[in-house]
Amino acid sequence: MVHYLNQFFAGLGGETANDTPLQSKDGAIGPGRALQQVLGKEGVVVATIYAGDDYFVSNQEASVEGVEGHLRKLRPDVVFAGPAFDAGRYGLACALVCKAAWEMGIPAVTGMHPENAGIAPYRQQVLAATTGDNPTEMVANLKTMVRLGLKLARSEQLGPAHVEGYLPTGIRRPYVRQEIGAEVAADMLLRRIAGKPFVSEIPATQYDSVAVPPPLKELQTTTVALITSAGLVPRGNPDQQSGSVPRRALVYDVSGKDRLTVDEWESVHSGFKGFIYNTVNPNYALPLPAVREAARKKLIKGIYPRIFTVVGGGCPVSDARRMGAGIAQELKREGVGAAILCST
Amino acid sequence: MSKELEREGIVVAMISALPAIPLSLGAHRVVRGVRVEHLCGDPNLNEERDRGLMYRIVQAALQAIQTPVTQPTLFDPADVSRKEAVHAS
Repeated sequence: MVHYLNQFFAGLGGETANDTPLQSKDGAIGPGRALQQVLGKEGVVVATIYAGDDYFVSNQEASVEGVEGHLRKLRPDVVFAGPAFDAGRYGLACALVCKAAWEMGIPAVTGMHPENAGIAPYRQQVLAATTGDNPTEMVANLKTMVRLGLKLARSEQLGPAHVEGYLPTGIRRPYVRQEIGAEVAADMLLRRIAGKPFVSEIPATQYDSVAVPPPLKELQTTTVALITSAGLVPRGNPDQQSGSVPRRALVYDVSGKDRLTVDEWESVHSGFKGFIYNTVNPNYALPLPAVREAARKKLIKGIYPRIFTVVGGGCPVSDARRMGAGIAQELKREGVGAAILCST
Repeated sequence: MSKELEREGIVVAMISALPAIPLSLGAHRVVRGVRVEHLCGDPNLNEERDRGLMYRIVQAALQAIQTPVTQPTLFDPADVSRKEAVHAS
């Protein structure tokens, strides 16, 4: 067995060790020790591959090649990654590690929260045990991962997602059931009428889709709003925006400002190293000077004076939806036709 | 967030350093940014080139707002390739 961890769970530190290059070490480390305990006699964690989350996602191709190199040498029967809980970039790294392993013919399992965006592009290719967002549930989550991993190693067919405890992959497999379809349908209907719970065989899409707004042909008459999820706030964070559990979108007036300066602005986002925004150029998080230039060139009518800033990391979809709806109401009321959303 | 804005008919261009994610979640107009730590520019460039890079990213966003799309679509600003993003580390 080979285990993948990020810098934090490998014991190297949090955001300060975020750019640790990909490497591997013999044996289990950190949660890998718990993984080994759960495995018991069923397997041995021979090595741990680890990297900083920032390093991995910023150097995706090199990182995946690195993982493939290690796996070629180690030749494991199963790869375990994480669990990543609700950490987006760790989730993406775990998903890519598992995808690389699968493509080499090695079964792989990760674990993450259903709303972890990191797995979204790879849902059909990556098997992830469903976890919560709390690392104290690590052992329970590892147990699910091990159960799934051992089944894969023995080439046993997995049951449906909600039975086995993994995130739905969207792949459907035909199977023969005891009851005929009419009985199943009648039973479901009766349960529904009686207000009892029932499980549809065709679950609704998880992410709602919205109709695409038609493009704006007359940008010269359009006021553009600027939104950032980089946690940009006036220096000192006077409104006490949370760096990790965001519940509010903050609004600041930038009329008359040509650019944001490091003397006046900082990023309080705790999900990445903010020092470039904080010490070099906060406009990287909200490109005010460039949009001003576009306005001066009359490409757009103007910039909506109030900028919106939220913290993207650790933000549940329901909160993002609520904050987005609030911003949308204001923009609609003020006749703003377009928005540039800077998403970190 | 972009969906709630689109629901009200506001055209959104979303600049992202990891475009595969918003594209797979159904954001319609996604512009490739540079890196999570410096989304709309690159501190390794000199001031003039950096300013040009930021302007091209904004240009791509404005282009996206003016472009009809039917599905999640990626807009690549000139000179912001995956290579450059890797380079900037």
